Formats: sequence, C-alpha cells, structure tokens
Amino acid sequence: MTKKSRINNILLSIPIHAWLLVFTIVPLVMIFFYAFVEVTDEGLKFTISNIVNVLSNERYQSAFYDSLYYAFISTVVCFILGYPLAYVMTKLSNGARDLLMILLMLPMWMNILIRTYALKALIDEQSILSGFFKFVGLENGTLTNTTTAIIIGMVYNFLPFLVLPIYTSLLKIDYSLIEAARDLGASGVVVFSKILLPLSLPGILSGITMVFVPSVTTFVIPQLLANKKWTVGSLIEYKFMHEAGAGAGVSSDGSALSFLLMIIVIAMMSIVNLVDKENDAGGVV
Amino acid sequence: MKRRGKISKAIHRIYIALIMLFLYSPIAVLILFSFNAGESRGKFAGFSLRWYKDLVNRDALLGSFRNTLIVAAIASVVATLIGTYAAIVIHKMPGIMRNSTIKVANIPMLNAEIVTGIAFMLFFGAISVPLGFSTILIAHITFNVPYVILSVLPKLRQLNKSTYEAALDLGATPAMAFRKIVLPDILPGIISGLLIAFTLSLDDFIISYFTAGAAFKTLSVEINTLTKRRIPLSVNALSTIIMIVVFVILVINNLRKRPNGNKALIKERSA
Repeated sequence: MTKKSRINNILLSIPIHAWLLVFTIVPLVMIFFYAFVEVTDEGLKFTISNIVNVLSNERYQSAFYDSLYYAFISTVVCFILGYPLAYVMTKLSNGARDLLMILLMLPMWMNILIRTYALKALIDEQSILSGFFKFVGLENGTLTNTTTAIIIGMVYNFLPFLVLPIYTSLLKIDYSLIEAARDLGASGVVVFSKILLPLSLPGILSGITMVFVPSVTTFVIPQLLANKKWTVGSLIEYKFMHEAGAGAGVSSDGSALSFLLMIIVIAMMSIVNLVDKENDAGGVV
Repeated sequence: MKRRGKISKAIHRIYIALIMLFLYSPIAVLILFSFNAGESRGKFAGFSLRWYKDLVNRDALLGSFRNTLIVAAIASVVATLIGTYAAIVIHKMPGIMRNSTIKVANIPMLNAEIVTGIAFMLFFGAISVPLGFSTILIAHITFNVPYVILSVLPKLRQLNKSTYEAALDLGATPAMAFRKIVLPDILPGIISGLLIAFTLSLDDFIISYFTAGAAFKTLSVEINTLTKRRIPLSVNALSTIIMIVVFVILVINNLRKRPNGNKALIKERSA
C-alpha cells in the first residue's frame, strides 16, 4: 500500500469515527456523567455518592437480586427447553427445518409488547385458563403477579434467541463423529458430553447471552405480568419516566442504576468471551 | 433398531409440537379474540368482524402504525448507507484500528436496550433537542448500523482483490471499478443488512419509548399507552393483520431463496 492511499484511508474513516463518537460514545458518557457528577454551586464535582446510595438502598438491592434471579432461572429453563429442540431440528428434512425456522422467527417479528400482552391474556384472571389455574390450586385463578408469570414471560419471549444460534452450531457438527463414537460403544450421555456439548459451545454461549441480557434488563415483562414486583429495568424506567417531572429525563439514581446494569452486562459478556477463548472457538459475541 | 428409530422420531415430533404449542397458544388466543363479538379478552361471545371495522376509526392507532413504517423505512435505508460505507472503510483499516472500531461500532447491538435508550434520552436532553421524530430516527439509525456492518463485512472479506486491481489497471476509475466489480459482490450482504435493519426498527419498543417523546408515537409506544387502561380488541385485529403479512413475506422469502441457491450451485459447478 502506498503512503498516499494510506492517508486516503485515514481521511475516509474520519466520518465513521465522528459518527461513532457522537452517537455511540457521547450518549454513554452522559450516563457516567449523571451517575458520577454532582452539580453544586461551585461547579461540577465528582462523586460516588449516587452509586453508594443505590447499592446501600434495600429496595434497590432486592431489585438487583430479583432481576439476576429471574434472568438466571429463565436462561436455565430456556436452555433445558431449547437445546433439545435445536438438536431435534437438525434431524428433520430440509422442508420441515425451513418451516420450523419460520415458525420460530415469526414471534420475534412481533414486538415484545404485543407478545407479552398476548401471553397476559392467557394467564390473567377470567382468562380461558382461569379454570385450570383454580383447579391446580391458585386461588384467584391467575398467574399474574407471581414470579412464575415473569419466568414464563421471559422464556416465551426469548426462547427463539437461544434456539437459533445453537441450531446453527449443531448443524456444523460432522455427523460421522457421532456415528463413530456410537460404533465404539459410547452411550448417549457420553456422546452428548464429549461431542455435542463441546462442539456446540459457541452457539450455546451466544444463545445464553441473547437470553440473559434482555432478561436481566427488561421492564416490559415484569410491568405487564407482575406490576407489583420491581426489577432493575422497571426501577430505571420509573425513575426516568414517572418520578418527579416525568420525561424530563434527569435522574441521578436512575443513571447510577443504568451504570450498574451496564456493568452486569459487560461482566456477563466478559465471562462468555473468556470461556469461548479457552475453548478456542469463535462465537458471535 | 429400526423400531427404536421410529419411536425416537415420534418423541421428537411430540417435543416439537409441545414447544410450538407453548409459543403459539398466546398468539392463537390473540387472533381468536380479534374476532370476538364481545369486549372481553377472556370470554368469547361469538364471531364478528367488529374490531376490524373498528380499526378504521382508530386514528391514534393507525397513525402510530404509519409512524412506525416511516421511521423503519427511513432509518433502515440511512443505516444501510452509513453501515455499508463504514464496512468498506473498516475493511481497509490496519488490524488494531479495525478491531477497536468494530468493537465500538458493536456497542449499540450488544448493550442492553434500556441503557441505549436512556443514554440517547440524556444525550438529546443535554444538547436541548426536543424528543420527537428526529430523535427517534437518529436512535434507530444508530442501533441499526452495526447489523448492516455485520452483514456487509463478511462479503468484503470474500472479495477477490485482484479483479478490482485488474479493473483499475485496465483504465477503470475507482468509482467505476467499485460499481462494476465490488458492488455486485457485496450486494447480497447490503440487502440482508437492509432487511434486518427494517425489521429491527419495526419491532423496536424500548429504544423508541425513551426517544420518541409525547408528540410522536410509534405503534409499540401507542400500545404501551393503551396497556395502562383497557386495551381495545382492535389491537388484536391490527396485530393479526401484521402477523399474517409478516408470515407471507417470510414464506415468499424462503421459497425465493431455494431456486436461487440452486442457480448459484449450478453456476459454481459450471464455472
């Protein structure tokens, strides 16, 4: 490459770097700003008091605990339901696979509000399933406002996100490996733990991230299905949109919560990247 | 052995059916109640098209749906232009710079949507831009760009560099060589990026919610307002219509892909 074309390339990349700076980095810096800077009479002052406040507040603590708990359980349930589905899909004929892909993707094309609202109609009081809920011992004949409702809501919304990447990585596995292991006397458990699991790990990791991140941050699902339960997402939404001066948009508590939520997301992705690198396989994340 | 295979096949089928039942029973109920003659979401009072007729008079709902389409159309086209340009520039960058630029460009895709939404709201507040059409548009373009980059970059990597250089040697201007040589090869990536961007915009609620403001509502934001009160079943009717349209598009897209795939295969073999 000549010197001239190198300078040309740098000039051409300026608009992109400017774009990323203004619309990706600066907005995120705003969250740091409101989380860590205090406006006093003498000017701006760096402070960690917002973060300390949020971390020492019992209501916020329990919201963090609950959000992580809901996201963890949903991710586990999604994996238990989704991995076998992805595996079974690889065994189908091409036509059946395509149809199933469409059926899995179709709900993803409707937005989360409509999906959750459709689910709510099934589990509310006086729904079609009320009789069933009463029969199994739920007094009001509804799942609304229970932890179960939130978990079902998350699994229902995010299950396809987990199935698709796992399905893609399972498809790449050379089937003769499995046959060879079988011929050499490996049991189903051994085939799963020694062949399927390690070879589909990149898909599993990106699938898990794609369920965990939206689960731990959502405010739509807890609000619609269990409005009496606080999660970090619903707290942030409340802080910015409903507390004093709705929509005015500045909340130091809310910014501190958003900052901490971002830390959780980054931590989750670092763990996934670490596991991924150890296994020396390129994942999506 | 053969019998065992049959049994496991049956178990597979049952398993798929159960998961589909889980995924589709809420949607089936939503569709069923769009035809309800009554107003309840829990008791079906007979078949009627009243909620579809009712849609015609729902100005707020239809207006918000139109807004959604406008935002998705403009945002996806602009994001495709920016993302394609970015992918070409990134592709030419030296290694370290390329990796760090891709990492930053991916942030809106990997970050939690609520954080992206709040960040934009604070940003627009700080530079005193009132929330509305322009802010929601900028937010949508921003979260669409990384998906376009992600679908165009692999196509650029597959490009045969020497054909482009040969075109230049034969006297083509860089612009001409780009149009005749590079563009046709990366076009499938650009189109799939455009489609992903369009559907993501169409589908988005969270980022729209924080950047739309009170004056400009998209469909999801409008539905969210309605959930605070009693949702009219016209929402079910509109959702049913949208779902059928999406289903038809997906099926056509799938049928279209197959013959093309075969053609590409034949071309490859004869080459």
